[in-house]
Order: sequence, then structure tokens, then C-alpha cells
Amino acid sequence: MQIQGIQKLQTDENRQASQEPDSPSLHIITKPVETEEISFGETAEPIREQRKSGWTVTAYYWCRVCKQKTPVTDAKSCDCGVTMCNVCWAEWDFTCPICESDMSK
Amino acid sequence: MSENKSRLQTLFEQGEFVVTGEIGPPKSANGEGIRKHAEHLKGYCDATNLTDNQTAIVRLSSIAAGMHVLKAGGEPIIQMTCRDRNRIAIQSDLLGAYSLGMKNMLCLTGDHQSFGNHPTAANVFDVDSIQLIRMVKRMKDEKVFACGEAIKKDEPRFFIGAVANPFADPFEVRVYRMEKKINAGAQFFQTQIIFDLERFERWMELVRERGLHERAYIMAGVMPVKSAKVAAYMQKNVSGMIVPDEMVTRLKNAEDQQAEAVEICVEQIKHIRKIKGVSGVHIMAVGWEEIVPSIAEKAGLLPRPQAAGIARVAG
Ligand SMILES: [Zn+2]
Ligand SMILES: [Zn+2]
Repeated sequence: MQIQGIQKLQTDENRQASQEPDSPSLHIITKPVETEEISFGETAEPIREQRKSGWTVTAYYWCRVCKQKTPVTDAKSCDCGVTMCNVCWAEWDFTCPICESDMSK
Repeated sequence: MSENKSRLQTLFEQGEFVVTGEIGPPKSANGEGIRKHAEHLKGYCDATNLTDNQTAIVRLSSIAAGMHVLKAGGEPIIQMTCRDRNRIAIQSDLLGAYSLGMKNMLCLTGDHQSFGNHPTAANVFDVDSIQLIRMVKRMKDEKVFACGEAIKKDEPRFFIGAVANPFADPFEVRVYRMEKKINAGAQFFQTQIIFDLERFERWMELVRERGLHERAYIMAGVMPVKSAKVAAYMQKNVSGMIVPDEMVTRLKNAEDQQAEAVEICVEQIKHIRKIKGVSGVHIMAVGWEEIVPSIAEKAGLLPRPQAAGIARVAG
């Protein structure tokens, strides 16, 4: 069943690939946009109106290892891109498993 | 605008086995590290990728990084993702990059922002990677913007690159995706990091069956894996990549893991070089860039060839 599925996919893809690429051509679309109003007070500090979905400021990272949503204060991101929660970093002795940077500070 | 080919394209056309490296720009406004890396790769790599906010983490921009590489006498390959810019910004950046002397670009979708350091940021994906490739090609060949308006003069003439992953599932479909990218205008490919050579060879068989190696240059991605620890981490936590147990064990049992890592990478390059249809290697030495010259030397990739009509030694 699975093999048949793949074969069908192959045939379809085969046909598509031998013709023009199947991604649609670019065209103008209308899309509803959620806006965020920003006004300035006397101190020139931006005053943000809260969106329905909440503040846009990042307050968490996703740990790449345990896949948990972790507050930024409990997570670290190495320059090479490895991002983990501190519990997972501890498993690697706070040394980056890719580039060996010291992540203890 | 007259044809003004990049060193990378010229070398491919000369039939050379091409070597490229990669620099991840820093999370700061200081370009010194990029210039140092570029200097370091000069004479060992023919061109250098500059990643575009890789892993969705804010970094110095790939085009600014490309300028640092040019200043250091190297040849940049500008990576451009679809995540952060709409078609207006992409085309504007393409004009800017080409005006600064950058001639190679690599089109990617880009890692999703939820994995980076701004997980709540909005993404764009106004165009996908195939549409991006077609847009760059049309700017070059048809001299038009994405909206159809003519570019009256000095159109950007990039050598267009794309990525291919022989290790993502379903395996058989990856080749068709590659063909779509070629149909859209991709001229060269860099693959995902290859550790499983057997699977890569099977994938290359499919590529050859469809004659794709004759329509685009294919570079195999390799990575020197510094230690058993790095290998174990990648095996467990990096998706879209196959790290064989055998490699982890070999590193674990080695007296000098770094020397063994170089040895493994050199063996892989020598093996890849013999596979019909592969035109070069892309060395991604993440966090270990200083090892690239030694790998290039041991793998018999030196001296790097000169590109006809281009005097400068690139990196
Ligand atoms: Zn974790
Ligand atoms: Zn790291």
C-alpha cells in the first residue's frame, strides 16, 4: 500500500518535474493584516498597544533537545546556533556540543 | 549588462572539482572575525557561503558579511532565505548585493523562527525557495522584476545556487524537488551534510538517471566532526541528517579524536570525488573553521586552480 503510494507520488512528481515547476507564479493577493499601534509619549518611549495574541517581545526559547518552551532566563543560545534549556546544558557540562564554546557564564 | 561570471561559476565551467567553505556571521556588529576567517580560507576554498540568520538567530547580515569577505580578497556566496523578507525586500537586497560585487547566491527556505531567538517573530514566506530561484533567474534572463516591470539597465546576474537534502524522507521524492529547482533556474547545488555515503550514492544514482548532474553542478556537503561528543549530539538531536553509529564508535575509540575526525572527513571527500556527477565539496566546519586548510591539503584538493580571466585568489 505504502509502496503504491510512493509509486503514485513518483509518477505524479515525475510528470510535474518534466514540465514547468509546479509552484504557482507570483500574483497579488489580499491578506488581512493585524496592526500594532505605536504612539510616543513625552519621554519618547514607545507605548505599545497589546495585540490580541500578546506582547511581541520574546520571553522564551524552545529547547532543541527536550523540546520544552523555556523562559529565556533558564535557557542559553550558543553563537553556533545550539539553543537549550539550562537542564539540558547541564547534561553537556555547559560546553557546546557542536563548537565546544564555554556556556557556563 | 555583459556576462561577468563569478570565480565559482568559471571554475565549474572549467571542469574543476570545486571547494567551498562557510562562515556563520557573528551575533554582533563586528566584522573582524569574518575577515579573519575569510583570510584563513583564502587559497583553500574557491568561495565562501555567508549564512542568512542561520538557525533563525539574529546575526550580522549575509550581504554585509559578503562585503567583509570581498574586502579580505575572497569570493562570497550570499545565502538568502524566504523567512525574513518579502519579494520587495529580496529584490532590493539582490540589487544591492550585486552592486557591491557579489555574484553568487544560494536560495533557501530558512529555518522556522520558532527555533531561534525570536520565536514570536512574524515570518514572511511571501515566496518559497523555488519561486525565489525563478525570481532571480527572471531578473537575470528576462530582465524583469517579479511584477513583470522591466529592469531597464544593469540587471543583477547572479550564479544561482540551491540546496538539496538526500537524507530527508520520502527519499525518492527529493530528486524531483531538485529537478523543480533546476527547472526554476538553479545552476548549482550544495547538499545537506553527508555522513551516510551509501545513501548518498543511491541518491546520486537517481540524480544521474534523470540527467540532473548534466543540468546543474552538485556539491556534496561535508563536515569534520570534532569529537565523539559532537557526533553523538548530532545523531540524537539534529534532524534531516544521518550520523552512522560506526562513525560515533570510531571517534570514541580514537586516541586522538580530532586527528581521527580529520581522517574521516578526508576519507569522505576522497570517496565523494569518485562519484560520477559530483562537481565539488562544500565544507561546513561549524565552530572549527581553522581545520579547513588541513582537510583540503590531506584530501589532495590543493593547490586550488586559477579561474581563467580572474586574477584574484578567492576564499
Ligand atoms: Zn531542554
Ligand atoms: Zn556552539
